[in-house]
Amino acid sequence: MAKGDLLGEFELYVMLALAHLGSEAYGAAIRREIAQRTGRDAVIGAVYATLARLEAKHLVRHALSDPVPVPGGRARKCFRLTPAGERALAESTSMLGRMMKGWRPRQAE
Amino acid sequence: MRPLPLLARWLVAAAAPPDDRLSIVSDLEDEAAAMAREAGVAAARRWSAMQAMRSVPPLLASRLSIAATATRRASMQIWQGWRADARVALRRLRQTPGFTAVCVATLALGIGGNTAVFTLIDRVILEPLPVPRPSELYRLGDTDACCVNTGLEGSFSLFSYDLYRYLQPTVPEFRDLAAFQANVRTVLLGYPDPDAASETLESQYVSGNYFQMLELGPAAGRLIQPADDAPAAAAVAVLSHRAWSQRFGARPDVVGTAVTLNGVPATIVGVAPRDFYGETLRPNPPDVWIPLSNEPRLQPMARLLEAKSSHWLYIIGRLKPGVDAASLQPRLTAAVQRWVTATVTLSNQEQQDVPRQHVAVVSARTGVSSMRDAVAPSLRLLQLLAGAVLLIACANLANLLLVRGMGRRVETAVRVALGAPRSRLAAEWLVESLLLALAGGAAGMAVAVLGARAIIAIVFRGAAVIPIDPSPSPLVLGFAVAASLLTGAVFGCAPAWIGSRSDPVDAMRSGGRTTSERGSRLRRALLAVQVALSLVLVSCAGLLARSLANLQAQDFGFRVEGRYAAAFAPSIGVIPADRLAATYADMQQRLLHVGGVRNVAFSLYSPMSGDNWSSLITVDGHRPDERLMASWNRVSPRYFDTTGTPVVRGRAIDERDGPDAPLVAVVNQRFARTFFGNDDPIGRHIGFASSQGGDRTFAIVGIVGDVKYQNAREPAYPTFFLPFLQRPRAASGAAAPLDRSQFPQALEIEAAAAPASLAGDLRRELARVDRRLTIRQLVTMQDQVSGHFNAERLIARLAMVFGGVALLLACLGLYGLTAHAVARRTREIGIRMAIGASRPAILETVLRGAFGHLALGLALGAPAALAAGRLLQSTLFGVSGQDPSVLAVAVVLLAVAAGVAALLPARRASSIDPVQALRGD
Repeated sequence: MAKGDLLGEFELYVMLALAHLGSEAYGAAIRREIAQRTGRDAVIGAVYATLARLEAKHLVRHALSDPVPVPGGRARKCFRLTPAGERALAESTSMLGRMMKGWRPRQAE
Repeated sequence: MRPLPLLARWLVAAAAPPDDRLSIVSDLEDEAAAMAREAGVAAARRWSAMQAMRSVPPLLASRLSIAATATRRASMQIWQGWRADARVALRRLRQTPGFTAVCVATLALGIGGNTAVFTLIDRVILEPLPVPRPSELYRLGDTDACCVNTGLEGSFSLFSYDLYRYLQPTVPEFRDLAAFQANVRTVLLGYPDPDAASETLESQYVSGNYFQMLELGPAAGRLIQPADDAPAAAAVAVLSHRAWSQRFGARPDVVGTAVTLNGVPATIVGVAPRDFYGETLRPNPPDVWIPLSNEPRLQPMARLLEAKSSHWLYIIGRLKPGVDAASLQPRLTAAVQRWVTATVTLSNQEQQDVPRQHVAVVSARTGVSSMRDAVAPSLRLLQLLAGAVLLIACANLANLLLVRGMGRRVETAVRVALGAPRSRLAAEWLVESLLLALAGGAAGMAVAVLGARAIIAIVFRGAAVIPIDPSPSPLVLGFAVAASLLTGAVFGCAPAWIGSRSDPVDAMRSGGRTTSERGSRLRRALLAVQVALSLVLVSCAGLLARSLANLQAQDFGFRVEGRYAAAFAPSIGVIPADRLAATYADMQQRLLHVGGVRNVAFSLYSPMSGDNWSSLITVDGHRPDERLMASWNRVSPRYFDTTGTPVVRGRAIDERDGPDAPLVAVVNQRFARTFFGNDDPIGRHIGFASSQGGDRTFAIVGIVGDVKYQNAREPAYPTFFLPFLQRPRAASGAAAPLDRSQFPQALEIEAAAAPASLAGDLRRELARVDRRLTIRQLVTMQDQVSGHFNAERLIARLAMVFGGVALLLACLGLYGLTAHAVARRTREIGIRMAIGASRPAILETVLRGAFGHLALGLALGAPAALAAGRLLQSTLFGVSGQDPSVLAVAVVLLAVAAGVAALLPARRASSIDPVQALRGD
């Protein structure tokens, strides 16, 4: 990962979701994974926008499923992490871990 | 009911990038369906709607950034494409240095010439005064009436001080209405210390609100204010920035210095801003400005300020915004007519002229335009000439580019056959043409800068100060760049288009040796146009040169060889009346003894100095109310001898014509013919119409030959000459007071072989007569006469330069065309020679072809040249615009030059080795 190219928060969530899902996932699955784990309702549009950004950075890639047999039907996109993406994810999360080491959230009173 | 509302689906589909549309919509459908199963359709619909709405912003943002990246990438590609083309083009151009050099030189001449002329037009005609909001400035009067007028003017442009004060209150729409001396006169600047050297400065009298009207701030000290223009105010002066830098070393302590102006104590109170040269563009702009109220003290002989009927001031004012200048004209006209009727004593004739008197109000955005008006027609003519040269240059360039295109037919054909798009090829060639054009434009800028400097130096020849900055303004630079790009684009397109149209098979088969009909015809047409334009330019140059020669070689009526002229400093006005006769005699005596001097005389003005004094006169035998106008001059004894003016009958003015002798006059032949017809004027009487009563007429004692004093193109004006010392007597017998015409302004010298120290010697002798007397600007009479024709000389020279360039370009064009034709037909010529054609026959064939093109061009050009001559007619002297001999010479010149140009390739053709020609392909 290039120096200074830190992953944004949502980018991290999307990539983590992809990592959890293991192999390829549709955008819906990613969204549901994030929603279930974080407890906040992720927006499908935001997920796709983030996936486009990640793809431009070559951290994820998509494959097209078989075209739907309807007129003008385009193939559906199916995403997975690239090796570079996996490395970036590992690095980002370990950095975060190191930053968090020794810190505990203050209990709300 | 669907779990995914239609609106939501539509929203998301619209916002999403096309590639993701299906995916997102499918995802939403899946999730909506799942939710419908879990929580019911209504909840699913609500959730989908919310998802859709919140998805729109991120999706749109994503789309925008994708688009931006794509655009950036695309423009990078386009940019790199052009860079690649440029690199290729530069390499090609470097490989053919001769071709490139000729193209660049051709364009440089064409563009440079135009830019030089345009620079001048910008600076001389268009450039506004360097003051705030110059478009608010308006001038009363629209003619160049310089410099002092008495009587009625028709269109009033000069105003007396009294008239100026009278008009001021009638036009409150002017925020400030200022008056200033119409011309610039020298003043003697001295210092309280009698040993300090005094110097002459150009000065101008201005009203107290002059600088206020112009809204200028001082560079040092302060500027003239209304309080300085009061009759009792102490005398002050403001220096020009140039004078301050050059004559006073830009010392800040100059402000506040006590000086004397023409002997009157004054204080220098400030310095004008750097770029300010006055309100009139002129060579020798004022070095010092002085308030009007000081004029009577500094010019006791003139006292123009107090002369109600002496009009010597121009008026310019700053109009309040929103006022229509034309609406002031009727009011001003009425005011002038009232003033004239009340103030001036009018003859019957003049009474009838009063309704004709009017005042025009014109824009003074560029100041007073007398010099501009004089130079403008010449500049326009130059523009036409330069434009013609540019056209020729462009035609040449087009020809060259076409030839180059033809030469690349094989390469083009191969590339097209391999699949290169024609648009790509055309683009490449276009870039090449643009690069050539830009290089030509850059070189042209250098030509322009040098050319503009040279032209200004000629126009202002003899001036001590040139107020025009010859460096090109951004406007001009933009013009040059635009001209070059336009040229490159237009003339690069044609060859590019033609070349890309070539049929590849055809091109490769004949080895690129046959040219398409279309290209060849275009080239021949271009050449014909070039030849025609060249003929026009050369012919015009010939006409202008002939006209200039006629102007300069004409007989002005006096002798020029061995004659010199100088101007007296105005300090001569300090000589008191009772010492006048003695001083003048003393001057002539002493100056005669200066080494090398054969004859000395002085007058109000010398021949061909451009000056002229004229007045209304009365003549014996004519009715008193006839409007008779004549020019006149005051001359010393030996004047006609010194200037070489022949005395035809009677005698010249000499020593006996003193203050107590009978009043006499000498007239020129034109005067005699005009007012006396065939009768003998000797013994008859003439006088000034303005003198009344007493012994006021002069007896004519001699007739001299006609001499031109002011206008070289017209015959000499009817002129009479008076002695310096004589003045009409009043009825009581008392002599009238001295007037300024009795002080000479010009000195004439005849010297056999003048030593270099002549000026210094003369000054020394004059100083011995009176320390305050001195002369300036000693020039040979030849220079004085030549200086009169600076503008004509400039035009003629430039026309010759342009004509020469045009001729050269036309020859280059013909050479190129012929050489190319020979190259093209090498095989054919080889065959002919192989089957028996002789070398002279080949030579003749080629030359005949070349001359055919030439003849076509000449046939087109001859009527155009005649038409151009008709247009020039008004500026020509002594030669008709349609003079056949000039045209004939031009035709012959072109034919000879073209013949030489065509001869070289023709000779090459005739020495072709037939074996080589047939073998080579």
